[in-house]
Amino acid sequence: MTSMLEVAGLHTFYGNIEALKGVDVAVNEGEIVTLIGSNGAGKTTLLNTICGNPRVARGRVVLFGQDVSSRETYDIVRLGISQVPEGRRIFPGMTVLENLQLGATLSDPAHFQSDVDMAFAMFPILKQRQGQRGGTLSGGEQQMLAIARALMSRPRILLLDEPSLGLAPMIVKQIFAVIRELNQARKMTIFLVEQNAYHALRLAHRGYVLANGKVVLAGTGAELLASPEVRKAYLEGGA
Amino acid sequence: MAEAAAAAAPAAPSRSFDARAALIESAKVAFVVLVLAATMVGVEIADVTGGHEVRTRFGQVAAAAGVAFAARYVLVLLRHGRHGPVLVGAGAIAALLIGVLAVEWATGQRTIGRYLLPFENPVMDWVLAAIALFLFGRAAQLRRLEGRTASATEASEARWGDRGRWLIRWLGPAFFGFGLVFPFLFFIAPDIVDRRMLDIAVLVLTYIMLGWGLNIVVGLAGLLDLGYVAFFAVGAYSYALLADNFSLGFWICLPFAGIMSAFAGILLGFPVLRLRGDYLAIVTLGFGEMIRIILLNWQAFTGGPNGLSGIPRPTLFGIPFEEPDEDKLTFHGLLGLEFDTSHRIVFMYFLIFALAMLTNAFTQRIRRLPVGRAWEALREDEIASRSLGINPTNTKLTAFAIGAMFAGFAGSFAGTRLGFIAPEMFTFLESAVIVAIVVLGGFGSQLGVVLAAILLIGLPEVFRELKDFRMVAFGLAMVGIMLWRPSGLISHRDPTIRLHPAGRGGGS
Ligand SMILES: Nc1ncnc2c1ncn2[C@@H]1O[C@H](COP(=O)(O)OP(=O)(O)OP(=O)(O)O)[C@@H](O)[C@H]1O
Ligand SMILES: [Mg+2]
Repeated sequence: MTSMLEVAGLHTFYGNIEALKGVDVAVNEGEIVTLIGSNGAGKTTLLNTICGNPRVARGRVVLFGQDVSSRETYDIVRLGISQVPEGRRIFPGMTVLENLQLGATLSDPAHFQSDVDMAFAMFPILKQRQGQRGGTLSGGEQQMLAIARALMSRPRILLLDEPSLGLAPMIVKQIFAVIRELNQARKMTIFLVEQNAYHALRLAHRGYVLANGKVVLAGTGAELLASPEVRKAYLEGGA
Repeated sequence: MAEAAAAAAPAAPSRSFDARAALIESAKVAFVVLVLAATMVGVEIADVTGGHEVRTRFGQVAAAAGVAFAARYVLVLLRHGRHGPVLVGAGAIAALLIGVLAVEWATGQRTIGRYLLPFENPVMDWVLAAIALFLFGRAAQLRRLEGRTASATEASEARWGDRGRWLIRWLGPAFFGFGLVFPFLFFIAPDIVDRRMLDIAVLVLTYIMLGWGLNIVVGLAGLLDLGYVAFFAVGAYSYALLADNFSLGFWICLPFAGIMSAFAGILLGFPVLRLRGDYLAIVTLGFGEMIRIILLNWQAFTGGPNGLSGIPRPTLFGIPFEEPDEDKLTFHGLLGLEFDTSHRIVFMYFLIFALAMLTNAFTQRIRRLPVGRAWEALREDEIASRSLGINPTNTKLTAFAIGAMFAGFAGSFAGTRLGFIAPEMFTFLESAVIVAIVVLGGFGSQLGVVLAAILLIGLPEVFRELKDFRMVAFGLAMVGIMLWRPSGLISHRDPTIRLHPAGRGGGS
């Protein structure tokens, strides 16, 4: 297996707050890897650092064999990585279709038509809402749009930051089904940050647990699900 | 203005009417008006033979406070659902005032108006009538809405939305057509469209072009530029200096002026585009002033405060608009027309019309291209844009450069129209007016810019007779727009991509 994304000894600072204190994570081709951890553990910070904002303070981020630690975000995403950011960040004043069009900024315009068709097949509700402004979509619809937009650039690896946040169980199920489908049918590599540890670990091949800016546990999805620490800290009462 | 604010606010939930509270509220408003009016109109310095004399006009100040008191009281009544008395009272007063004013205006004689109207000024008389009419209209509107259920109101509003969109779609072509035939009215109906009107139209078109140019920077890319007039100045001086030093004509200089301005845009943009929002606005403001001060002080090159004069007029494919001459081909000589300077103004009109339309067409087109889409994306969410592969610095720089380029074109035009330029023509006030046009037009709306330019530039020019009240009207118009259309005259944004072909029929 080739490593698509490799994070080694990563430190990230916000001013003089050290949010990541030496993180090592690897994602191999064709895998779903999940990252769990409590609020403020540094999960979002890790995804954002991989994408170049904030900058790497110490350590390395290697993407498809290239060190991207000191590159700009817009340059890094050119390599074939795409992010569904925390809070979705869709363009509120633009229509669904315009949001998808912006997602395709880096891809060949000749693909646009078929990629939109694919997105609409994945999320039929978006097809109905294609002329509606992003800001007026419901939370679940916005999440679907964020995923669809991230896929428009035909990434080789997709980073997802809490895609199930604030969604009804039905929709959460749908989103997780889409993630599995992307991985199985389209062979997409996925790095998934989740609070919903039970679902995420069941879906993932491997997982990491982040606490206070450090990886404290790593293993296969099944191993982590069975581990007493994970059960105690992240699954108790939940699931 | 306070009246209007209250009118625009949604009706308060409580319907019980407390006369004491209403009186106190009205008294407060009247007091504010009293203080403001006392300082602004209460004292007048009049020229009398042999010097000045201070005159007081406290009667009028008191009248203004009284009017404010009454109007506010009526608004409180309306807020509490007492439409009936207002409908009758305000209606009667409005009818009386308008009737009297109309008769007096038609006959040109001041009769009973002298006793009815406290202000010794025809404009204020009409303002008074307008206030009464407004209150009457508001009462009628509320009365009409009263019986309706919420959903009926909503449905009617939705219908208005549709009608509004329809209007917007047709207003653009209508304005374009009107703009095309307007100068011919000068020949057909010279008593309606005189030379002055033509001049005003040229001025309005210049501002429309500037508004459209700035709209690229502020409306599309979301970068608040308070020094836009600097690029206008660079364009004007580029043309004047090129023409002066190298004896080049307008058409050759026009692209150069645009390039120089675009270059100035990049020069400014490069160091400052990392700044955001207010900080960017302040720096651009400083840049605008810097350019003006350089122009003012670089005497040898720019002529300093005296400016540059004798800027050559543009030609029509090399044919000048000059007095016919035996050995020179001129426009009038060619067509065998009698020489008339107003033909040159008509030509100027079409020149700026074409330049403005070029700006508009360019903007409409570029919005649909990747760079235009990137501008709008950056305005909406810079972080998301970056993670989709948009380079924010380059994208913003292009917006700055292109916006500046159009200002440069407009600057060359302004130079050639007046034949003279000076640093005082490029003050911060000009930047502020252009920003106001864009903001009041509704950030990013092309049609909104046209409406706002007509409102802010055209009307004050047309009503130049009103003298000082011109600026009051300007302020009132601005406050009015902010109250009734807080997101600009036209806040509708046209999507850059229409329905996806495969999605037809599945529409919402
Ligand atoms: N822009 C910032 N400036 C300063 N501190 C920040 C910033 N962003 C995050 N932090 C801090 O860094 C730490 C990690 O934040 P991060 O957003 O990565 O947490 P998270 O694991 O994604 O949490 P959650 O599950 O709540 O989203 C937190 O303590 C947070 O307060
Ligand atoms: Mg987070």
